[in-house]
Amino acid sequence: MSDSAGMPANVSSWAAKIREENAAAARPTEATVIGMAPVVTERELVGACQRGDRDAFRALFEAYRNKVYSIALRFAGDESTAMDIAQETFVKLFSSIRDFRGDSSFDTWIYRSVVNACLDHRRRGWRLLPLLDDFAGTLRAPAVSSLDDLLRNERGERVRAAIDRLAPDLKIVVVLRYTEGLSYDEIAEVLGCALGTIASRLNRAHKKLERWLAHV
Amino acid sequence: MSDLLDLELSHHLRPVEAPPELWARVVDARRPRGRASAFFALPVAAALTLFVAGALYVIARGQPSQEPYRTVSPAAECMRCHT
Repeated sequence: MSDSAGMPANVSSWAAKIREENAAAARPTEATVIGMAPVVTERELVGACQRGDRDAFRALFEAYRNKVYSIALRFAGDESTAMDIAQETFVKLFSSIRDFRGDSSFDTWIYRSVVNACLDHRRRGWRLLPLLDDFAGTLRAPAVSSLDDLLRNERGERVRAAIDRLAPDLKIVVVLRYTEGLSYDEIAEVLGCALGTIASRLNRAHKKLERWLAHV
Repeated sequence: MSDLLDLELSHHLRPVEAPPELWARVVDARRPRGRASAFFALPVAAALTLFVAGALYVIARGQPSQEPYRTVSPAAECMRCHT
């Protein structure tokens, strides 16, 4: 899925630190230098987290925060719930990172964590006040300046509402496909389903969305 | 599936940037909360126990002692009946 070279700047600074530590301990390291920027492998980063390195936790958070938050936001539909889900995902992740044995890629492991957090949140937190949510959404919505903006905004709302109507098992497939751009194989690995199941769910989701959005 | 729907979904489900305060929330949630409350819990429980025990003692002391039954002498009984 994603490679370690795509990690942000403070991961590089953490990589420099771990390289220094490794050099001091005269141990070989997998980290390599590309130009002036040291690149840390995902395995090293996870290994440092498993040893309880706080900087590594921060680096791991920075590397994955946008992915986790994006999936949570697109699944839940509102920022407040997305923050709760993302927080829960990282807290669980950091407390159970010692259990990661590398059987699957770390990306897959993270995706599984956030998907489970989304589905758990959905099961637990039935929205008691949907009208209040809508009202809050209206307040948060940016002011529209022209008729064109108004129509575009209206269409966006309808698309988001249609996505929100999907059953959780269909919605999570759609979110992983469009938010993270995962392939069918990768989605199947994350959800622990057969490839045919993923294709079928995506097909059903598309048909429902087409039907619901036909009049828009 | 139409290309238009594909475009719409790609647009409306595009990835976003996480708010900066997420890290603070994660750190705050991981901080152990039990110690401070345990530190205060024991003295508060002891004070409550003392208060309840004291209140029960005062209530018990304030009530008049009840005689198990009233004994009436036979003479008094006769006076009541025969006067």
